[in-house]
Order: sequence, then structure tokens, then C-alpha cells
Amino acid sequence: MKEFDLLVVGGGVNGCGIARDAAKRGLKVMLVEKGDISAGTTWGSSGMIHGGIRYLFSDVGVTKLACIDSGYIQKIAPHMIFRIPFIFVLPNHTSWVHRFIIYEGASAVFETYDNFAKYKGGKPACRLTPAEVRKLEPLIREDIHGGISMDEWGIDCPRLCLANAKDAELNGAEVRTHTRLVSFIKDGSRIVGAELRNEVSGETEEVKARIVFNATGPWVPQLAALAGCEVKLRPAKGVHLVLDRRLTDYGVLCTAIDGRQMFVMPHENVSYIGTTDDDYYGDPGDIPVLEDEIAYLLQAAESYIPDVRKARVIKVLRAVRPTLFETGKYEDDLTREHQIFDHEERDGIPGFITMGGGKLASYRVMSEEAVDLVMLKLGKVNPCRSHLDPLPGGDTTPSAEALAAEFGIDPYAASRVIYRHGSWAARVLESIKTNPGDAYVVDRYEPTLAAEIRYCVRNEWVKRPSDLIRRCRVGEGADQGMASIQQATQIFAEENKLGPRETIEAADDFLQAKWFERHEALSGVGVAQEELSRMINLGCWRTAQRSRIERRLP
Amino acid sequence: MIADRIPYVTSDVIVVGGGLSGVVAALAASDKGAKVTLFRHGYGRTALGGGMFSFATNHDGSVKDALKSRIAAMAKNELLPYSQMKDPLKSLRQAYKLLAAKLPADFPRDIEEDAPQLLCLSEGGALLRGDMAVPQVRSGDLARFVGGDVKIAVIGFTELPFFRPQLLKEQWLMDMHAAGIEKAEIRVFTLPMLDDGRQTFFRMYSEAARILDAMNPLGPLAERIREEIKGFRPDLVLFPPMLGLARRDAVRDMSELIGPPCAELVGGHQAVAGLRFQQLLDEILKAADVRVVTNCSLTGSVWQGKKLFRLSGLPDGEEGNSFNDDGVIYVEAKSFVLATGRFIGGGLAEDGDGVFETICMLPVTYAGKRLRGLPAIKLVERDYAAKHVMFSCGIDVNEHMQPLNVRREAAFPNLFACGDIIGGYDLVLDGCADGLALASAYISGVNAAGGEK
Repeated sequence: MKEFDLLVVGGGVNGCGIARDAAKRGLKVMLVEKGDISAGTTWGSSGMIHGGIRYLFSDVGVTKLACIDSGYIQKIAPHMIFRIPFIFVLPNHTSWVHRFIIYEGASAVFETYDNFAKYKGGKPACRLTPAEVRKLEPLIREDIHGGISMDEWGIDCPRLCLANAKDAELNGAEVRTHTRLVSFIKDGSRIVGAELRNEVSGETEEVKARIVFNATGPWVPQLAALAGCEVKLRPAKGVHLVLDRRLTDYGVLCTAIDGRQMFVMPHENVSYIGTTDDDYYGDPGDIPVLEDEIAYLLQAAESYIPDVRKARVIKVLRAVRPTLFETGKYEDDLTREHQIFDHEERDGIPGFITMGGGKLASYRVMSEEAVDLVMLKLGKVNPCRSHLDPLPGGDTTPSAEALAAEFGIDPYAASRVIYRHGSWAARVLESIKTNPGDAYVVDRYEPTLAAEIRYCVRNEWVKRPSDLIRRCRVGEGADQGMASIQQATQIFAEENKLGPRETIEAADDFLQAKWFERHEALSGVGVAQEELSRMINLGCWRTAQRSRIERRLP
Repeated sequence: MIADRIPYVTSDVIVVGGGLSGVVAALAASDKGAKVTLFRHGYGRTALGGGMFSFATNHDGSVKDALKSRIAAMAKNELLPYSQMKDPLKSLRQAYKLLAAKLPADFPRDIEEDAPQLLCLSEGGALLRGDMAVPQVRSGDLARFVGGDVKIAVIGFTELPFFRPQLLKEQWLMDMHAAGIEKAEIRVFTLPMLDDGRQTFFRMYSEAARILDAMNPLGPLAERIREEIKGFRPDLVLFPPMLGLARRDAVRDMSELIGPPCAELVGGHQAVAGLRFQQLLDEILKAADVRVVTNCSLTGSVWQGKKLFRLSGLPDGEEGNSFNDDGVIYVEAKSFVLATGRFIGGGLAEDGDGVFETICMLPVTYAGKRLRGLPAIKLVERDYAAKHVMFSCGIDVNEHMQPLNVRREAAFPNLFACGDIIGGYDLVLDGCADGLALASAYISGVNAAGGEK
């Protein structure tokens, strides 16, 4: 039986962050994730390491902490950060008094926020006239009173998680994806290990751990119940719509019908409209999106960008926030603070710790705090270095032109590889030298090269081809993988030496995973796109159809 | 509205849509002596096809099953438009005969007798069944090897790295075995198509096809392939679906140069086979006495009394159609045929408030239920490969192929519909879309030419 100091359960940003920090402090760590890395709440987040101007009134502490930590993340992973300037649009109210109050009030808020901006390297807020706003973003409607700009930072969340997990592995940790914790091993009341089941192969394994850390986000109550204690959360569903293009260059803050703050924001090569915030009582692994939510988000975006419906919604991001339990409050007013539950003190279960709440931007400092407690329990004192040492690939940023020339690829494709892999980019593209066919572009929307898919399958725990969605954005473009799923699956099959039946099943799994993400948002010209996609995937390739028939057979 | 400034197009029959069903409807009407004008605004499903056509699926999966029994079985299903037709097989054969007479000599194939279905391998690793195929695909028919042996050489090109026959081999063999080919051997040969040492990748088959079009003569390439496959002695040589776009005889030339018969695999979305077939149809229309107005979207309709009177639309581009100052075109005819397809063709559309028919606002239904007002989310399943209402819906027709209105009566006595726009079946899963397109096109074309019903 393998023995570990720390078993981290949950491969989201917190679990990966904790595993990295602990491994760097010399602990023997194992990270288990029941699905794919970053496939839960982290995948459904806005992908911003922002300070949270929303929380300025309720939780100044959260805003400050997030701003400071955002600055650290920019230092340790500079390659995967991109700037998203925002415009707060001031509506054209009829009375000048009203206008004056809103303008001055908003300016005061943004100036307060500027006090924290220095921590995260943002530019200060700036007042804009209506003409300036329209010049920056011609899609914004004409009858406005002006705008205020501010600066935030976006990030590719799955790559952030992956870089953390990779760094943990480099520091001696074991990472297991598609592995579920099925039961705890107890010695009296103390938790001393766990039984794990590989969800792909079905094999089970027992491991010993001095501490089991529950970083499962919205699944925290379930895992706590398995350990024999109760942790209450107030989970809230958050939905984003993903548009087929970058609708704007600036994020535009909009107002929803109920007065909530919304945004239309460019993110990588698409735009996000978000976010809803509603109490959620269902299964965090199977979140339905309702037509009301889609209509609500589009209506909010329409308030300042009247032409938003001309763009196509290609998918819906959905996730559940593991917000801390509070009663008597609206969802928006719930604190975004995090809390660490020491079950030894709280419930008399030694060897088990849980973390709930928090937000993406402060994942690192939360992880630091969590590992501090683990170190205390284990009686060790090594200091945290997670804010000082760069993440894998974060040390230097190579030149895209040089890389493109070296491997004979498109400079833009090279820049995307650098964006995801930083200084490791040349390592990713290495297979082109032995196999020139790997320079081929598989997904034209990203663009993703065959070489990158091959690298990810070999080195980044891709157990199912649908994991490639998060590794290198295969199938995330406007065609949602119509032309790339089969080809990416073939590379996956080639690397894993799959037989014909397994290959068909793997492609089927990929098609189904993508369809689940977008079927609720199907509308307009997207229906014609889908009709074509079906003709190719079910007609010529006939994959899903065939494996479905075969699955029905005894 | 100043009448004399508006360009009217008048005709006996107006056909909207230039895919397989539109062309057959136009030919059928023209054959009956009507003056026909065909409007279209672009290419749709026909041009995107992979080169193989299926008229009716095999219910028990046997290869020998005759078309007659397959159609008879399908006509029992009330949802399928075959059930509306008086004699679907007869209409299908008449349509096929009409089309086959105009196609090049190597295209048609006798569907009168109980010939087995075509069995052709696809570039996606499947063995597909069909009733008709473009000649380039049809020469790869494997039905003649059922119950025996076959040796197949598949040619990959280094410039097409996305075409990975080595990996699909096992899938092909699995399917061929299930279809009754006792001993099959596949060997993959990969060689550069261009011999100049450049590192070039074709992203689309059409790019490769154009290179091949310009490659004159084919001899050196064929010579290299012949050298490669010499030791293997295949019965059949299969190529990716890219053997020439303008050059239609590339497959035949290749066969003559190499020795064993050559053919193309049935293609996916990048294949050039559908485009080639569409170009053939265009030529047929040009040769027939049918006026074709291209790049024109018809979007509105006007009726007088009970009859549909006029369609109106906008030109998409230049193309020599000089319309009036407003840019609007009005078309009048004794009868009209809708062959506009579903979502790809533009016959149906979805606007967030359900599915609608785009020209005459006919009710769109599935299994008798109207779909207007139902958002898309209600019309799809969570299972990708399931039969979704969204992709099976369409307008309803009676036995004369007249679309039905909300009262389930013929909407207009002089309006007919054919092809994918008629709903009830799934274009992909039910495997009868091409047969229905032909049969319904023939009936509607003849009825449109015969005047009011």
C-alpha cells in the first residue's frame, strides 16, 4: 500500500494549488480527481483573476486579497495571462441630477478600486465621454452618458490547474485523474487512507495518507458525509454563454433586468456573457441550463450591445459555486470568503480537512493557508514558495516568430502554443521534427496543431479524448469540433493503441461531451451548423450511431 | 408600387431550390411541357454530400434486400413521407429514370431489377450501403466481393496528414466482415502527391483536387503508385475523396494507368464528390429547357383568393440579374415547387421562437404536432445520436405533395413541396432522404406542370 503525507481530493484550481504548494514544501502528495483536471467549477468560471469590484462593498478583504494574489499569479504564470480592459457604461438617465450622482458615485467606487489596482498591475480607471466609448466599442448603443474604464486580467483556467498539477508532479507528487475516492480507511475515528477507483479501467487501489484534504468544491458536503461529518454549503449555479467570436475588445459591464451587474467579455478567441447566480440544489456533476437563463443573459447583454443576438451562442458554461452557508441573504450578497474546516477540532475526526468557499483569483493564497494548517498538523515548518517560483513554462516567454520559423508552422499557431505552454513550447512541438505531419492544424478555430494534441495525450493525463477540450481547446471554436473531433480522437487512439471499437467509443464520448455543453443553447443559424455536423459525424463517420447500437447488444 | 418598374419573372412553374430534388422537380415539370424557372441562392446539402445516395435503409441489414421490399417496409411508417405516396417505388423509379437519362453514361445504374445495394468504404472508417453513387465512388463497390476474398490498397498522401487510413483499417475490416466479405486484406501506402520535396499540407480535399486537376499528365504519379503496390496485387485501389474536381475522368485514367480498378472513398464534409454531383446537375439544367436564376433568395409570398400568386425576394449578388431600383424581384407562376431543403438549404429556420418555414410560413410539424412557439431546447435530446425532433421536423404534405396548412388541408392548390423540407424523418439516421427527395420531386414536378389539383 502506497503511503502519502497528504491526499488531496479534487483536481480543481484549489486541489491543484494545494498539491503544488504541499509538494514544493517537501510533502509526499497524491492528487485524485474523479473526472478531468479542472472539469468542475473551475471550468465553468469566468476565467478572470480579478479583484472583484462587486465585493468592494460587502467584502473589502476579499477584494484586497484577490488583488494581491492576482499580482502573484501574473508573476508565476505570465504566459497564460491576458489583459481584459472593461468599460462600465453609464446609462443616459433623463434627469441630470440622476446622471451626476451615478457618474460621481461610480467614479468614487472605481477610484477606491484603483487603490488595490497597484497590487495586480492594472491601469487606473479613466472617465470616458460617450464618443470615446463608441470609438473604443462601436457596438455599444448610442444613447449613453459616458463610461469608466478599468483593468482586469483573464486566464485559461484549465491550463492554470494543469500547470499547478504538473509542478506538483515535478516535485514528486502523484496525480491521478478519472479516479474516484470511494471510501475512507479509518483507524478508530482517525482517517488514515482511502480506497480509490479508476473510473476508466475500473481498478481499485488503497492508499495510506496522514491527512486527507477535501478540496472538492461543490462536492465538499458529499465527501464530508462519506467521512462521517457534515459541512454545509450554499451552492449557487453560475451560467455563462459563449459566443462564436470576440464580439468586443473591451469587456462591457451591463445591467440585467433585475439590476444585477453582468458583462460581455472577450475571452481568448470567444466572448463570454455572464454570470447568473442562483441557489442550486441538484447534482453538481449534471447541471441543467434552462431557457430562462439563456434569455436572461442575452437580454442583459442587449441592454448595451443591441446587436448581441447577431452573434451565435455556441455553448453554455455551467458550474456551481461552493459558497459558504449563510441564510437570509440573496445569492449575490453571499460572501466570497473561504473557510477551512479542521475536522479534528470540529467533529473529532483527525486526519481530515475541508476547504469551502473562495474564488479563483485567490486560489494561491487559499492553498497557502490550507497547506500551512497541514504542515502544522504534520509538525513541519517549511515555508511556502508558491508565489515566488514560476509555474512550469512560466520562467521565460519564447518568441513566436522564432518558434514558427524553427518548426515551419504559422506564427499565430506558435503564439497559441506559447500562450498555453510558455517556455515549454519547443518541447510541445518537438514531434514535428520526427513526424512532419504533426505540423498539421487539427482545429482551425484555435488553431490547435496535431503536435500539441500528441504532446498533451502523452504528458498531460489525457485519459479520454474529451479531456483535450481543456488541454488545448480542441472543439472549442465556432464549429464546436465538427471538423476536429474525429481527427483529434484518431491521434488519441494512435497514442494509446486503441482498437477500432474503443476508438469509436472514444469519439462517441467526445461528441457527447461537446453536445452536452451546447445542446441547450442551440438556436438560429446554429441549427444549420448542427445539421451539417450530424451529416459528417453520424453519416460518414457513423461513430456515435454505431457504438450506440453496439452498446445495446448484450 | 409602380407595376411597370418592377421586374416580374413569369413562368408556368417556379421551382425554388437547386439541389437534387429541385432539379428533378424542374426536369419532371419541363418534361410535361411546362415552362420552368428555377431559383436558387447557393449550394446546400446536395453539394455537401459524400458521393453516395441511399433510397431506403435495410431493416434487417442484409445486403441482398431488394429496393422494393425496403420501400414497402418504410411506407408502413406513417411518419415517413413514403407513406403519403400512392406508389412510392414507381415515383422513385420514374424520377431516377428521368435523371439517369441526362447523367453521363457511366453514372446510372439499373435499380429496376433486384440488384444488391452498393457497399462502399467511407473515409471515416465505415462500410456504407447505398443505392446510387457518383462513378468515382461506385467503382469501389464491394458488393461483388461478398462471400469471397478481396485485397484492397488504400493510398494515403503525405500532404493529407488528417487522412489516416492506417488507423481506420481495423474499422473497415470489422464492417466488411459483418457484411459477409469472408477474407479481406487492406494495405495502406503513403506517398507524396507532389514530388518536389516541399512540406505542404492540404487542409481541404478541394485543394488537393485542384492540384490534381492541374497535374498533367497523371502518368508520373500513377507510375509511383504502381511501383508501390506492385508486390501486393490488389483487387481494388482506394483513394481519399479528392481525385479531381474539374477533371471528372481522373479515376478512370488512374485505373487505366495503374491496372486494378481505382475508386474514391465516400467522403465527409471536405469531400469533393458532392460538389462534382452538384456541378453535373447544374449542367443538366443548362442543357434542359429550364431557366435558372442564381444568387436569389426568395423570402416572401403573396396569395390571391385561394391560390399562391407571387413570391418575392432579393438578389444575393451580381450574377447578371439586373432587378429594379429597389432590388426586389417578384416572381409569378401558375404553380410553385418548394425544394428549399431544411436548415442548411434555408427552407427551415429557427429564430429563438421555434422552427418556421421561410417563404410561405407553412406550419412546421413533427408527428402532427406544430413546433412554432417551442424553443429549440425542447426539440433536442441530451443524447447526441438520438433522433431529435429538431432534425426530423418539416412541413407535412398530402399525396400530391401539396403542403398542408394548420387545418391539415392543402395550403394552396398550386403549391407543391419536395425533398428535405418535408419532415418526419431524420436526414442522417433514417437513411432514406435521397430516395424521398427523388420520389417527392417527381410527383411535385408532374403535378405542378399538370396545373391545379
